[in-house]
Amino acid sequence: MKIFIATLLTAILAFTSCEIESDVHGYSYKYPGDKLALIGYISPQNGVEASVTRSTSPADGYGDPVLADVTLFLCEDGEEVAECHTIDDIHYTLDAKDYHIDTNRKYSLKAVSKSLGTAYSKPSSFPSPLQLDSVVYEKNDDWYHILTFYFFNESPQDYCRFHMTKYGHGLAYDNNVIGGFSELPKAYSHYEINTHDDIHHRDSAFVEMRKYADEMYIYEKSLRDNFKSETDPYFDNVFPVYDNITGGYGFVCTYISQSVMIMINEEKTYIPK
Amino acid sequence: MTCLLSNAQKVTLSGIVISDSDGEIVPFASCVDISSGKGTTSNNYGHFALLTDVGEVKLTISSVGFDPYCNTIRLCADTSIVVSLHHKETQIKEVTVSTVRSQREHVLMGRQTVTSEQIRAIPSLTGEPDLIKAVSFLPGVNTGKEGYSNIYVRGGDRGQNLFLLDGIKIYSTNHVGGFLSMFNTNIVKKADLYKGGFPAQFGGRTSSIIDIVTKDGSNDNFGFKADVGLLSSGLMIETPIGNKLTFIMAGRTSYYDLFQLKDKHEMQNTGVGSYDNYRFYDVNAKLTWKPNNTHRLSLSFFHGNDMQKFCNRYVAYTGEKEYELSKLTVYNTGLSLTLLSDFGGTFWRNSFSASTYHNNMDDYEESIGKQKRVNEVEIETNIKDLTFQSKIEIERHHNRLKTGLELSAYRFCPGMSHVLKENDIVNDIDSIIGSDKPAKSVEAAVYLSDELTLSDKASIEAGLRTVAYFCRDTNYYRVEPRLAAKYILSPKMSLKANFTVMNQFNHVVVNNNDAMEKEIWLASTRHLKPQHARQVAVGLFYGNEDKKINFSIEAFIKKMNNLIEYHTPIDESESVLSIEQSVNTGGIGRARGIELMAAADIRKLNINLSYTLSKSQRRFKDINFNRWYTFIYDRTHDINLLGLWRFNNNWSASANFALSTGTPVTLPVGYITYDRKNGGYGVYLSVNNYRLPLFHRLDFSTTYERVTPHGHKSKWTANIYNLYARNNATAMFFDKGTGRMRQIAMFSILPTLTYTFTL
Repeated sequence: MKIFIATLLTAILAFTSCEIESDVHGYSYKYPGDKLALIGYISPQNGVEASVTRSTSPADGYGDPVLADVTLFLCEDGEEVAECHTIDDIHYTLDAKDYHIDTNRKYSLKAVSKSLGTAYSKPSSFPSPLQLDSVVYEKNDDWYHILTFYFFNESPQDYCRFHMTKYGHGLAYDNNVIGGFSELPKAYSHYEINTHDDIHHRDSAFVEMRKYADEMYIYEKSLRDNFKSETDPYFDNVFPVYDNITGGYGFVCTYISQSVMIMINEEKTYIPK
Repeated sequence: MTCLLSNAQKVTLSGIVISDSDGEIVPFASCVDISSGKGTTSNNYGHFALLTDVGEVKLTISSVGFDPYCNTIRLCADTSIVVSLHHKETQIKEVTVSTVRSQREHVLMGRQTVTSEQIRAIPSLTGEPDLIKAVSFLPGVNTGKEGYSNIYVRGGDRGQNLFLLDGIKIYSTNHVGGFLSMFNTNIVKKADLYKGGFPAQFGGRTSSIIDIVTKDGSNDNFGFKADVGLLSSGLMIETPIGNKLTFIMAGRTSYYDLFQLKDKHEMQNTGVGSYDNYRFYDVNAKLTWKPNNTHRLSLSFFHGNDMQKFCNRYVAYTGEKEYELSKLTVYNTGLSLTLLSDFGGTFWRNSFSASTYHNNMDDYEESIGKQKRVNEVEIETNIKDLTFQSKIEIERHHNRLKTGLELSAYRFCPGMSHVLKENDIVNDIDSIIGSDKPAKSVEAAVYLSDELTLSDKASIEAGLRTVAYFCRDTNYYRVEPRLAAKYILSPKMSLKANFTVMNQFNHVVVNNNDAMEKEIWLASTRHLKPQHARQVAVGLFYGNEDKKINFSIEAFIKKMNNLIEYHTPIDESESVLSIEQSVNTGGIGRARGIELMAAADIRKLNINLSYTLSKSQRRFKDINFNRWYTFIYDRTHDINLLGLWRFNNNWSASANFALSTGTPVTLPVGYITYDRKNGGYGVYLSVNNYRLPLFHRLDFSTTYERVTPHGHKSKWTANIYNLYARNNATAMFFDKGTGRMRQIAMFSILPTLTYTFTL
């Protein structure tokens, strides 16, 4: 009797329960409509790099984001001061030579579209520059190398990027590394670049270091948390992505860029004064 | 003559209410003088005291599952009686009526009683009667995700409920990953749920107390009961041992593992293959010694165990023989020893209990080639406690004074990760940074409360509980005032209000990253501050015994501080953080709601309705950018309608319809493309900004029971969960390929069958 009933249970459970995935019927997803989507970065050294698109509905299979009628302005302390140039149907730029960006002022971007109205970002101040103490080169094996940057007065929540622009012999090398995230305890002040190239054959490298405004950490962290939580539909708490755009969606942030040349030596790596 | 002369005098009618079948005390029985309309309830020890006028008293005493006792007594002086209530042959007709009735009499509100008969009357998911699912029928309580045996009370989280089983603290209440609770209804006598007016004797959780009492064994005859269910089967035996000892024992076990025996033997014989295995069992036992009418000593034991195993043996392409064994073991064990003494209106209860909860995951890998390599990792979570309680209750004319102390010692081990063997080298690594040793803490509480009858119509209960908590790096001291008031508007109606403060020093976070949810208990520390809740509630209670209609409405406001929440899904085997550092702390919460409960008997039909209108929100610094968001288990509307029919002595049926607002869910409001090559991301502006579709479901159950020619009872119960096979969504998301909205449902229609045999 028990066996019969238990067999019946197994059959019933197999056919009737557990993870029935289906389309949702009779449910009205209230899409708030397309809006301007603005992602941009502002620095005194590199000017403005931005993308402006139309936000698309997830329910439409992520339709065409291109907006043809957008004008993008750089704003200084809330006032429009320069118009950005179009690179392609999404990207916009403003060269640092075209407008002098003052690190003591607040900057924002304002996008104007005939079809979707106006969206503008929250004004952003510039962070203080990085104060580099030393760089240590470590060769782990033939293909794995680490450049560790040590700083004064930096906290783990200072968001930085490192961009190795070229080696001593003029080779370009693109290696963006996101710093600022570690599950290690909070008391450290260094960032690492893992290099998978033959850097040890070089005698020097140029590295661009970017330090972003405080909001960048919140934004990147929210993106990371959102990605981790979004991939699991059973997880109760999907984390929202930080947004600082009024009248649309997206994120705009300022940063300071610094370039240093590093003399690479397995015995002692140093920065020319 | 004396009676006539002293007509204006007041006298006290006191007594003890017991059950006629086993002599057990009947707590919280409604005791009413019909002629004057004055009423009270029996206390935890079955004792009651009613202040009334000299003269004739028409006393009615009633309790769920018993026939009412009615008697006219002529009082000339203070009188003490023993009232023996007769067990009803069938209890299916009374499921909530008497609960509301006793609520009307009691000063405290927010306490509701569920008996084993009520639990059995409500249709359930697996056909197995389930205490937690019966409790979730009550207003202000929901089970969260469909099918799970968790409860969320008045905007609180699941870790904010204190489960006491004969005084044993139960830290994890689930079997089968949450689909069945650990409480065996064959031995549960009743459960009292406190969700608002917490008596001062209870503390340690901020949302609810579920005080479960098991049956004493029969002191008359040997009893035997067998259940054969689809998920599990159980046995219960009870017997007197001599004149003064009784014994009862109940156990259940699943038998899914029987189907895996073939795979297991095949793997053992051939050397390759795989099998998975799951088994749960639980055992309850209680020994009660009643040397005389004034003392009662009982020893209770509980053990619940879940074991999930996956085993795989194969030959790799390199020729090496590989063996993998993954084993998850979860168990709760508890023991309590309770001495209850009655010194004529003064009750003294001393108890000692020990409880432990373990969750152990063991991964073993073995590879045999030219050389043998063995790796073994164990992740363990556990909590242990030892608790001593001493409670005194003194019943006098106008007063019911309660005082006592509670002392608990805890040992926490929230997330030990041991690499037992790495390439055959034995290691022992603790994943908790900065805390190589398990945490220990001590909680000490003393309380005093008095239930005072101010007049014929007004009474109050005022109490104070003070708690000291000593932990690893700091100490906490808290004072918890408790205040409740009752005013009788008419013989059929009373108005009540209460204010309570609760603190919770032991926290639980739930890691749902694994297949089976894992509860991780944490002590308060300097970083993890005690949770705190303040609650105000008012309620109106109406009961008409003649027309068999009962109605109650309660409104509450609750504020919570120092809430905790898991950050993101954590892979404990990879994380270098301690669990304590992986949770968001310092959250605040607010909840408010109106709860309605109504019950009516119409001939052979009993209808019960519960409705909750509520709102619950949370705010954390690191969740939703420090903005308020809707709590995941918020339900704006939550309706349960239960109908019970008894056609004749053999056939009965019940149906339950549940309808509630969909669970909050976080969905994107758009999609940003910032780079055609690298894509973009979904715009999630805030947490829980949408809701899943409306939840509704109809369950049906029918029972055929008969008495065999030998006098034994047999019962068949056919149960259909989700009768019209609605796929209620538990999760919803957008398919990134098609953009279509998809949902995941856990259950469709689920018929089950249970057979019960009772000697």
